[in-house]
Amino acid sequence: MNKLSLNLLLHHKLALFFLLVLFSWVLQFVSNEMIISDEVWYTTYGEQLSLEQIDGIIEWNATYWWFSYLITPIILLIKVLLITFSLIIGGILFDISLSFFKTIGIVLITEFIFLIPSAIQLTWFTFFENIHSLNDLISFTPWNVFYYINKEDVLEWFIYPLSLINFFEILFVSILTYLVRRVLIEKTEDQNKAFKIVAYGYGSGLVTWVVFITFLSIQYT
Amino acid sequence: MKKKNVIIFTFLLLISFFSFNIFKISQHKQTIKEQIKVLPEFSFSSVKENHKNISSNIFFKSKTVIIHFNSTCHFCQEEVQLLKDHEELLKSLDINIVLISEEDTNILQEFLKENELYNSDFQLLKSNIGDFYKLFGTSQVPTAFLYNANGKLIKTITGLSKFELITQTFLEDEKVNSLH
Repeated sequence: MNKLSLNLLLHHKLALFFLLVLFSWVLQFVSNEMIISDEVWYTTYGEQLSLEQIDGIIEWNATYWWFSYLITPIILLIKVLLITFSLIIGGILFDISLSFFKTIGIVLITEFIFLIPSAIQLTWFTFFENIHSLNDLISFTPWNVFYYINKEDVLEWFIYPLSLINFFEILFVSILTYLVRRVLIEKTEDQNKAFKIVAYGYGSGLVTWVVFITFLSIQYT
Repeated sequence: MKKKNVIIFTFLLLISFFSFNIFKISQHKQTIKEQIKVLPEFSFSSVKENHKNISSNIFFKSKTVIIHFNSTCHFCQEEVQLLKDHEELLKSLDINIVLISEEDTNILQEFLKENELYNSDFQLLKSNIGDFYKLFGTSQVPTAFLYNANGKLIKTITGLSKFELITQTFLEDEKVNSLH
């Protein structure tokens, strides 16, 4: 990516955010309307629920379809802000002051990476394999270390931390490091600190997030 | 330097707090897992019988479904209605239904009235806040614990379930027991 197009992207943060939301909505729409049919709901919950009860879930989904679309931008905004703050904190640790607006710009660009796994899942189940239950969709993650581990050996609350060790997380960190060096650090002698800022800032933020979510899941499951 | 120390201290504090709690809760869950294998001893006040304490002893030697519920939860209401619709069948299969909630007695009495449960055989018990969690390790509603006539836990159902899942589980357990 050349400097000009990068600067152009960074100047249009709001447009970037809307684009991110729009792509997420498209993926949600394809998943809800084209992949997850009523039959998928019946197969997923048939063992525990009666047909009437599953009909109820389908009806509820049909009535409140807008809810998942409404919550998407809110979740994305919170996520982008948290990553931005974690990078700024990483900068403080290495005596580098990062601009909030520039940082949020590069986080927005990098966040697009996390749309790829969902796009791959939807492509796979549209063209290569039939989906039977929701578990098929959720568990199809060959880019994830967890995919190659026997699930029965893993404690339930350990699933989330393990799921974060994946190819796209590594790609996210690599591109974030590249952009921090290219866009955020002005002094040439400081540019070797880019990886440290991402590793300590984003890394410690991610660790805190993981233990927090693990704490919640072990408490309420 | 001061800023850096605050950041490092806050990070370590958060990680220690959550890690310690994860460790503590997972140990507690392990204890609970063992504890609920057999119907645990408890004594909660009956909403129907004017605060009379009902002990779990009376459910030993009979098939019992303990359901943790909340009257405001939609799925709990559906579950109770489902059980009420099949009350005769439950009676014929000798299955006790024990509903346990942490809500105020007034609210639970209102729930009994609204759902016409005063004349049913279902027990409705009120536990103090946190007591059910200490005993059964969950605060989720509805959660059903199915105990056979030997007081042994044969299934835990989280969330709404079809009625047949309850009867089927008891029938299969009886079949297995009769083979042994």
